Amino acid sequence: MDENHKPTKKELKELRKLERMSATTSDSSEKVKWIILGLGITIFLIFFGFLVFMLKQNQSQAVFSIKNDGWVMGNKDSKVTLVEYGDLQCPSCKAYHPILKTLAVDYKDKFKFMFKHFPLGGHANALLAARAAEAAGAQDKFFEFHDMLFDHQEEWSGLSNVDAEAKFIGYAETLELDVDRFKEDLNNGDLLKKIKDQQSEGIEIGVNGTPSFFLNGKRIETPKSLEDFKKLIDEEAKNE
Amino acid sequence: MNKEIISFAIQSLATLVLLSQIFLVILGAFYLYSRVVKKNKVVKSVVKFFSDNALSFAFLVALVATAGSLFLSDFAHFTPCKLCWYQRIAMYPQIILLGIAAVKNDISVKRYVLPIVGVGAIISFYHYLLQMSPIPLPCTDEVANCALKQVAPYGYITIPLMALTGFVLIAVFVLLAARTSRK
Repeated sequence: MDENHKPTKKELKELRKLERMSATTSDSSEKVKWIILGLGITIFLIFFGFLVFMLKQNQSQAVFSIKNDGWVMGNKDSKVTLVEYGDLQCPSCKAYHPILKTLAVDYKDKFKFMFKHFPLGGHANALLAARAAEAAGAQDKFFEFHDMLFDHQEEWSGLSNVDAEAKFIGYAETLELDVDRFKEDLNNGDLLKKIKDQQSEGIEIGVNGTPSFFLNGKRIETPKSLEDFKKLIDEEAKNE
Repeated sequence: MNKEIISFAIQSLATLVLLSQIFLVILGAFYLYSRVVKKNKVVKSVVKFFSDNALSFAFLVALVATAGSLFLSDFAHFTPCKLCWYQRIAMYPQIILLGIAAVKNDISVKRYVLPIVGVGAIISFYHYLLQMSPIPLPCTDEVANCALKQVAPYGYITIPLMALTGFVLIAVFVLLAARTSRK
């Protein structure tokens, strides 16, 4: 009983003290408090609002010229181009892979799809995978290899570089590529430069994660479904 | 154009962080001076000004930190890693806690704020260590790399250091507020 009583007494005392304090200083210090809060929030809102406003205004207008050096699928004469900056080891790119494949079939006359490399630093085998896909591309089987990599992503993403390379050579065999040439192209400096150039271009235009999509040079918020992709492409086709 | 706006925003944020750190050092020096050497009227009134309005300042810190973090993810498009998310969880509710406390002059809010801020500060500190130390510390994130320094204005102010400064500022302000109430 006594022990229960003690803290309440102490608190009451504190409360009274507080009341006394605020009673003596309340008016002027309350005023100062509201001035600080008001001024702080106002400055904050003006600064932040200004930044967001400027960004929003620019965002809708930005059209980037993207080089045509990626691998292309679909109607090559179409005026609508969907560019993906992708990382072959990234799980969300894998998640988008079936959607894009279906899209490429359903809309094969309506747009062209371009894949560009953006291997992320955090993925140990991403660059190697990109080089392997390019090596397959040198034998005109880029998308076959690209599909293979996504379909079997969990098989190789956890491997060491050496083991992953062996895995990729196995895939090349499965796809009936010229394996000797494939091995050589894995270390091909020109192909590496192509990948790096695509990535630098991506960084230049603000790609910061994968997958990132650009529709006719305009950055689009990553669509959530096949239908969303179709809607965007239809809209773009109308505007062209 | 967008790039310039974003880098301007990040630079402003970093400058604010730098100023906050200088402020903390000066405040610490003031405190030591008045403690160890002698009581000084000017020092006392400066400390009193900040103590009297500490909750309001703490609220503003939380506001700027939250807005800054949302700006970095939603406008500068930096993907937050797992550790970033834990720090965000510790920072965002402070706006409401400290906002209400500032309006109501409720100093007892320190009981709730300090533990959360403590957790946040520990995670920020670890995250900063992870970015700065040459030995790789564990953080596995499939989407965003924890060790990646997305920005580092002034050479050392990375995003987790910004968060750490915010947490420390809030803690110092809340403690200052509690100090005045004791007198």
